[in-house]
Amino acid sequence: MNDIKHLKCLSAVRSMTAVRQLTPAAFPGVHCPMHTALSLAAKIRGVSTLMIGTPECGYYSRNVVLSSPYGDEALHWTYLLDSKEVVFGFRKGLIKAIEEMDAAGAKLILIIATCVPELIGGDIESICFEMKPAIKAKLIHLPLGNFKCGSFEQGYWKTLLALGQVIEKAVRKGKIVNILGRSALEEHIPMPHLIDYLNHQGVPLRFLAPDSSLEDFISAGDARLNLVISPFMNSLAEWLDKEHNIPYVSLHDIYGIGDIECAYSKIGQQLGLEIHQEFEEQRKEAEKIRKAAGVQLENLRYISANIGTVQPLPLSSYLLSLGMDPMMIHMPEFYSSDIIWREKIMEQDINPIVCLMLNEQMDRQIIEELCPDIVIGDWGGRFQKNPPNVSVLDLYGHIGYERTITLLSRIIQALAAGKEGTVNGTA
Amino acid sequence: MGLLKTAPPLSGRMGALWCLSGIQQSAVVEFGCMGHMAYGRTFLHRMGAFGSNLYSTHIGETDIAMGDTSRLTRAVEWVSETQGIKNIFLLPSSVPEVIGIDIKAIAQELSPSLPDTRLIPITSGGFDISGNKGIELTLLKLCKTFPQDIKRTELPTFNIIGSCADMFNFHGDAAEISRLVSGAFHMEPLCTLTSATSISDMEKLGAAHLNIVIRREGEACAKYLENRFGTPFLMARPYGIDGTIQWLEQIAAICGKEYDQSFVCHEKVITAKQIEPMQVVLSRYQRVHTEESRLILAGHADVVSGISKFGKEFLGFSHVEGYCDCPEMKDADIAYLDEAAKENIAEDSRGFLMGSGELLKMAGKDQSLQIAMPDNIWRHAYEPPLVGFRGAVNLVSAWANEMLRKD
Repeated sequence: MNDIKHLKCLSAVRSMTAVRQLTPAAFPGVHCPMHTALSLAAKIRGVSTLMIGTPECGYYSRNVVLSSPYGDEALHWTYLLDSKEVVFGFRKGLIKAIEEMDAAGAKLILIIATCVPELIGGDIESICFEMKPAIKAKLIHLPLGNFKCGSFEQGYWKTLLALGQVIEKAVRKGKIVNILGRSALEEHIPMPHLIDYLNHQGVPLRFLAPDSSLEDFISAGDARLNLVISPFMNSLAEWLDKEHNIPYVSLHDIYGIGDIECAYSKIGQQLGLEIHQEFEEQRKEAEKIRKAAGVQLENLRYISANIGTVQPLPLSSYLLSLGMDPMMIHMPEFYSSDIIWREKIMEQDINPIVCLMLNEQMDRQIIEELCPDIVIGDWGGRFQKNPPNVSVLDLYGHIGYERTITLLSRIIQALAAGKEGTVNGTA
Repeated sequence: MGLLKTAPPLSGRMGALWCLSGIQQSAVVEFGCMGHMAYGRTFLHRMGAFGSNLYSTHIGETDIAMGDTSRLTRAVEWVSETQGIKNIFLLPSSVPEVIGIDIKAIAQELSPSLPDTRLIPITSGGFDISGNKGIELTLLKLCKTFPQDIKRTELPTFNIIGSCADMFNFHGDAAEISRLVSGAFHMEPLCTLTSATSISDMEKLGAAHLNIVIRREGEACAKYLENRFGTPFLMARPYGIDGTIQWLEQIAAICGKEYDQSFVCHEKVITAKQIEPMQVVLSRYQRVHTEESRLILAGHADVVSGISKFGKEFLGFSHVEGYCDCPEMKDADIAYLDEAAKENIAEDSRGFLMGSGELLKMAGKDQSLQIAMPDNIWRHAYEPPLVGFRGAVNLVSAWANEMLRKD
C-alpha cells in the first residue's frame, strides 16, 4: 500500500499549512492564485491589472487577459523584474509603471504581486499609500505569492475581498439585493429557482461576479441584503456586513432541508415575502428523496475527491448528517468559515484524513487501496462502476432544494450502478 | 525588464523546460511553486509537446524559510521508484533561484540512494538568461550527457538539432526536413533533438552521418558532436523552392554525394505548379497596389531571415522588414521586436504581416499568417510546414489568402 502516514486528520488542520499532498509530485497540479485573480479581473469591466513577476508569470498569463471581453477598456500590463531589481528592489520601476498606467487612463489598478516580489519583500502597500494623493487611479495591492497562497481559490476570494475597498458607503439602503457569486449572463449554470423567484417578485438584483462592472462594485453598498452563492464571496459578504451593515445569507454551503428552509425564511423576512409557499413543492420533493435514500446511505464510507469549487467541509458535514462516513477529504482551500464546519464534523466524533489530490493517476491507486464504498467528486477512476462515483463539479453555482435533490439522486443512482456492476462482474 | 504591455520574452528557465518537454523516457521535476508547472504544462500540451513527464514539487513558506529541499527528494524518489523513470531532469523555478538552492549539490547528494537513476540538474535559470540562451545551454547539456561512444550507422543517418517547442510549428517543420533529407539522400532520421526524441535516441546521437542544425542555438551542440564524433553539420533552414534546392546542395557537398535527381525534380515541379497561379496574382496585386508590396516578418531570427529571402527573391516584395524576438539576435537586417516595434507594426495595416498570434491579433490580421510564438490555440504534430517545398506552397498560399482578404 502506498504510504499515507504523512497526512493529517481534520482535527489537526486549522489552515492549509497542515494539508499535505497525497502524493509527492504534482502532475500537473493546479493553477496559482495569480491566474485566477487575473482571469476574474479581466472579466470585470473597468478593472485594470498590473502583474509583477517573472517572464513565466507574464508569458503564460497573457492569453488570460487577451480573452477579456472588454478589450481596450482596461489595461492589463506586466512589470517584469530583472536581476538587479531582485537584489536591490523594484520601487522606482514600479512607481514609474503605475504613473504610466494612470496617465493611460486606468481607473482601478489591481497590483498583483506574484512569488518573487513577495519573496524579496518589496513594500508595495506603502508605494500604493504614497502614490495615492498624486494619481487618479485607485490602487489595490494583491499579495498572491504561490508559496504563501497554495491554492487558486485564494486568487478569487482575495480579489473579491480586495474589491470591497472600492464599495462606497450608502446613505440609505435601497431595495436592491446583491447576488454574490454569479453573473446574470452565465448560461452554463442554470439560474437558481430562488433568484428567478425574486426576479419575478420584482426584487431588483445586482449580480457581482464575472460580467459585472467596477461601477457595480462601487455602488454595492446600497443593498439591503446579500445572497452568497459561491464560497469565493463569503469574505466579501462578511466585509459588507461589518463595514456597510448589509446582512447576508450564505446559500452555497447549506444542503440540509431544515437549513435551506431556515435560510429562505430569513430571506423572506428581510424582503417581506411569503417565500415558503413558492418552495413547498420543492421541499416536499427533497424530503421524499431524502427518505428514499434512507438506510442506503447509513455507514457508507466515502472519499471526497475533486469537487471543484464546491466547499468540501460543508458538503461533508451534510453527508455526515445522512449517516455517511468520510474517510478522506481533498481540501484545496481552508476558508475562514471552515473553522465552524470543522467543529461541526468533529462534534460527531468523526476525524477524516485531509489531503491535497494533485496527481490523478497516482491518487487513483491510493483511493482504490482505501476501498471506499463511494467517491464523491472527480478522480482517476471516475469512469469505472466500483467504487461508484458521484460527479459534483457541475453543481458549482447551484443552491437550495434543487441542488440537494440533484445530489441525493446522483448518489442513489451511483449506488445502483455500482451494485449492477458488481452483479455483472464489470467492476 | 520593466513595464510591458504585451507578452514578455521567455526566461532561461522556460527555454530549458520547453527544450526538455519533448524527450520521452524522461521526467522533469520542477522544484518550486506548482502554478509554474501547471501553466507550463498546459502551454506545452497546447503547443503539441508531449514527450516528457512534467512534475512539480510545490514549495511552501516553511520550505523557503528553512531551506528545506525534502519535497524535491521525495518527488524524485517517487518518480524513480513508482513511475520507473530513470532519467530525471531537476529544474529549479524562480523561487529556488532567488533563495539560491544548489540544484547540482542536491542531485549529487541524491545519486547514491538512486544508483539506477540518472539525475540531471538544469541550471539555466538565472534572471539574466534569455529563453534562447536557455535552449542553447540545454541542447549542449543534452549532447554532453547522453550520447554513448558508438560507431556510425552502416546506412546513412542524420540528426535534426534545434526542433524545440519555442519554435512555431516545430513538428511540421521537422517532419518536412526529415522527409526532404530521406527523399533526396535516402538517409534515415536518428534523433530529432528535442521535439521527437527519447533518451535511447539521444544515446545514439553520435552514430549519425550528418547533423542538420535548424537554429543558431544548436550550433554549440553541433560543434561538440563534431569534435567528439567527427559528425559534420549544416546550420540552415530551407525556405522556398530555390532556397530548398540550395539547402539540399549544401548537404550534398557536406556528405560528398549527389541528391536524388528524380525526387528533387518531382518535388520542384509539383511545388511550382501549385505556386505559379498564386504567384501570378500576387505579383500583379503588388504591381497595382505598390503600397501593399511590403512583407513584415517578426519571429525567430533564423525563420525571419529565411522567409524574408524567399519573399524578396521569389515574390518580389519591394519592402521587407524583419524583427526578431530575442534581443541578442538583432543585427543590421533584423531589429529587435520590442514593445514600440509591436505597436508600430500593429498600427500600419499596409502589406503582408507574419508574426506571433499576439502580434497578428494586435494588428487585426488573420491567424493563418502566424510564424512565431506566442500562440493562442491548440497545435498538433501534423500541422503543415513552413520550410521546404511544402512550406513554400504553404507560405505563398498564406500570402494569397491575405491578398483576398485585402481585396
